[in-house]
Amino acid sequence: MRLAPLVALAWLCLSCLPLAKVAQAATWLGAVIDAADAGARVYHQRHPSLENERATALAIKRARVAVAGVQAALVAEDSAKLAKARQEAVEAYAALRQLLDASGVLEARSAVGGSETDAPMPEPLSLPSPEAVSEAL
Amino acid sequence: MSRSVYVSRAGGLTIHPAGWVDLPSGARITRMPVMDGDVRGLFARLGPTPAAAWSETKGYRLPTVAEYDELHRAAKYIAPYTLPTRDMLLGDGVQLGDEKAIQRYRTLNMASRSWCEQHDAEVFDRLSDVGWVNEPVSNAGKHWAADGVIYGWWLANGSVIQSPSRAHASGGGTHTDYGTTFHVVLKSSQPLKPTKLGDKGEAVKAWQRHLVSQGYDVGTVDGIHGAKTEAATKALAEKQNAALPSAKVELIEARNYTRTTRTSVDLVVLHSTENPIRPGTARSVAQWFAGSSAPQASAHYVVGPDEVLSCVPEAAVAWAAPGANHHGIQIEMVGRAHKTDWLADGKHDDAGAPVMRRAATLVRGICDRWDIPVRRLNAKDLLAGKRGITTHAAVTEAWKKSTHIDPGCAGDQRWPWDEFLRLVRLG
Repeated sequence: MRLAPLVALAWLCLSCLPLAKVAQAATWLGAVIDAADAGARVYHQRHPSLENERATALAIKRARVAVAGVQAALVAEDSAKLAKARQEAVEAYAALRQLLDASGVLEARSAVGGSETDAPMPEPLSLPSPEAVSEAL
Repeated sequence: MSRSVYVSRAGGLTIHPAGWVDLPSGARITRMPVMDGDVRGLFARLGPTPAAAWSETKGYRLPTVAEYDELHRAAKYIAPYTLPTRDMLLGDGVQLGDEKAIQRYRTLNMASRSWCEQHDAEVFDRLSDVGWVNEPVSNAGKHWAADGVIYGWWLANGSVIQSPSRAHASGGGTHTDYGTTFHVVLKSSQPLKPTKLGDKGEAVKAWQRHLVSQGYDVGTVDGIHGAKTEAATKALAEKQNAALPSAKVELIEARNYTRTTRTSVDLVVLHSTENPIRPGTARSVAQWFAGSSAPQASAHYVVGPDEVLSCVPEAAVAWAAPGANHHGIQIEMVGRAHKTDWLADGKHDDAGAPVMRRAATLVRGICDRWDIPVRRLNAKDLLAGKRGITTHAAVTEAWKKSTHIDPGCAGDQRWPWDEFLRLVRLG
C-alpha cells in the first residue's frame, strides 16, 4: 500500500522529465527564432530586398507557428500531436536557417545587388544547427 | 574655332609621359601654351561677371589663389613657351589700338596656334579622356567678352578661362581674333545647393545668382534668403519636377529619399533588383519602396520588362548606392547580376534584353536633361570626378562605401556595356 504512491511518483517523474525538457527546448527554439528575426532585420536594413525580406518573414512565421504547435501539444498531453509538431518545428527551423544562410544573413555576406543603404554593416549571426534543435526537442 | 582644356580635380603632382600634369591640389593640366600673367592681379580687378551665374549652374567655381599660383607655376614649367602678356593684357603697357603691341601679340599667337594645330588631335584625345564638356565654356567666354573689360582673358566667376591665342586686343567696337581659343576650367568639388529660408551669406548669393540666371525674380542679390528667393526656389523646384517624363512614366513615390532640389547631376547609376525578370516585378518593387514597410532605400526609377516606374523625382536624392547618392540618378533594373543574360530576348526569368532596352531609352532622356555624357565610367573614372554612366559595382569599387556588385558582377563582367551604350545613343 505504501509502495503505490512511490511508484506513481517515480512514474510521474520519469514520464514528465522528458516533457519538461521538450517544453524548455521549445522555449529555447522560440528565443532562437527571435534572434534570427532580429539578425535578419539588421541585415536587411543594410541590404534591403523585397524577395528576401518576404521569404524571411514567411519562414519566421512558419517557425513560430511550429513552436506554438509543440507547446500546444505539450499542454494537451497528446503524444501523437507532439511527435508531428516536433517534426514540423525542426523542419521549419531548418528551412529558416537555410534561407538565412543562402541570403547571406548568417555570414553577414553582402547582397549582390539592389539598392543599398548606409545603415551599419551587419555582423555574422550564429544559429544552432537543425540537428541540435532536433536533439533538444 | 573654340577649344577647351580642362583642369580636373584628381591626382597628385605627377608629370605623365603623355603630357598630363597633376597638381598637388588635385588639378590637372595638359601641356599647353599659357599666359605669363599675374592672376592675382586679374582676380583683384574682376568683380562678379555676367558669366558668374552661368558658371555656377555648371558647378564651376573660382579657384583659390593658392590653386591658381600652383597651376600657373606648373603651367609655366611644362609649357613649350610662355607669352609675356601680363602688361599687354592688363593694359599696363598696351594702349588699345597699339599696332606694335598687337603685332607682337599676333606673332606669339601664330606660334601658339601652330603648336596647337600640331597637337590638336593629341589634346582632344585627352580632353575626351578627361571628358568634361567644352561647349558651355565658350558661352562663358561670350558672356565675358560682352563685358569688354579685360582683353585676352576670359574669366567666369567659378571658372577661369585662359585664352592665350585668342586675344581681344581691341576696343571701341573693333574686334580682332587670333587663332585658336584654349580654356582652363576648374570644376567645383561642391555642386551648387539651394539655400533655405532665413539663410544668409555667400552661399545664398550664389544661389540667388543661379535663380536669376534661370529667369526668376529674387529681388536684390543680397545674400539673404527671404520670401522672394524662397518663392523662386520653389518655382524652380516645381519646374524641375515637372520636367520628369511623367507622360509615359507613372510615379509611385518612394517613402524614403532626400527631398531636395539638385541643380546638377553627374552620374547615372545602374542597378539590378535581384529578382527574376517577370511582368509586374518593377511595380512590386516600386510599391515596396512606397509602402508602409518601405526600406530605408529607394531609386529614381525601376525598370521592368513591361514598364518603367518613377519613384523619386530626378532633382531629389534617392538612397541606393552610398558614395554616389548625392550626385547620381539611380536606376533599378529587374534582373539578377549573376544570372540575367542582358542580351537575351524572350519571356523567361533571365532574359534581360527587354529590360535593358527600356533602361537605355530612359537613360538617354536623363543624359539629355542633365547634360551627362553618354559614356561608361569605371571606378577610376569615378574617382577622377568624371561624369557619365556607371554601375553600382563601380561605385562599390571606387568609394568602398557600398558593397553590391550589380548589375553585372564585379568589374561589370556580365554587363554588356557596348550594346547598352549603343542603345542609349540611339535613344
